[in-house]
Amino acid sequence: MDFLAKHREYVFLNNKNTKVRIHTTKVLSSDYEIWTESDSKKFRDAIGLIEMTLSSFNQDDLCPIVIVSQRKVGKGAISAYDHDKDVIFYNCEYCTVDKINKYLSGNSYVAQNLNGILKHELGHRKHWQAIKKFYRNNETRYNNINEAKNELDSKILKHIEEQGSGFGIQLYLRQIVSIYAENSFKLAKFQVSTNIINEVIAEFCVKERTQDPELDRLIKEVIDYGKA
Amino acid sequence: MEKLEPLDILQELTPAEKETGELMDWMVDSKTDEDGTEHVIFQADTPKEILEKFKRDYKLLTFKTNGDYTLAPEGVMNKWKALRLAAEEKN
Repeated sequence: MDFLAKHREYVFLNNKNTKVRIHTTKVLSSDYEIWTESDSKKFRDAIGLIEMTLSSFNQDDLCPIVIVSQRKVGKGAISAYDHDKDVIFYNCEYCTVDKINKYLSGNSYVAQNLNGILKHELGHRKHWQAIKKFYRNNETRYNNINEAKNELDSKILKHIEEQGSGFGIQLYLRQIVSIYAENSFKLAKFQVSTNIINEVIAEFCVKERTQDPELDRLIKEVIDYGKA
Repeated sequence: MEKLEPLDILQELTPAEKETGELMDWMVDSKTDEDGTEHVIFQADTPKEILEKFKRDYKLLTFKTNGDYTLAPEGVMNKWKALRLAAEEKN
């Protein structure tokens, strides 16, 4: 792999909400836009695995992928989407099929492999691209992008909340989407309430279809916003 | 100073989060008390170890419950689970 030239710095909040700064180098030999913090074995393995997986994706749907150390992104963070910089961060610890399988086994996530992980992150991207477009088209109506996001997401949130009390909502998300979607929904309520349905949408983008046609319709309406 | 927005992070679930998700797979519904306590109704064919786990770990659940449960009539399951299983079978 050619690790020469092209450097870029990224600053982000990791899973402990700590501000971290990383210095990356572009992988020049790759057909995809991949940036890496290091050229050690774990990073090289992660790059190889990602390149192999990306070949099945539509190239127009992709964004840059940045391979980062677990120390920076935070223990337990598999991958992340940064809507501000439009990049996916990928934890180099998940550098082999075995390691990925170890964490995704069972039915906790819709994603069952790296393909699913990338679809999940690109699902966040589709969602944020729709939000940005919606905000641009309605800038005079909202004070900031989060206000616009709340409005765009509101029908999905309302539909989920109509499924009952706290218990009813948890049971619905667990059965219809995934354990991860259910868990993230209840955590986001106390942490980043603006992003309460983000993981539900990203999980849907891997699943593509649930047993609730109304939820499917509402999510598609949001992620397809502004598309001809 | 640059304002940073939180990332959308795909996070590993803790063993407790996975376990409560597994417990919920067997729940059909609940009845809510006046004080908001949920009395869970499990599927009739719920494995014994799931019911024991519920009695032991109900405090891990994020809704208010006291570990009491009843079993639904034979063949009754949560409507979304029934739809999900039917679709999985079809595929």
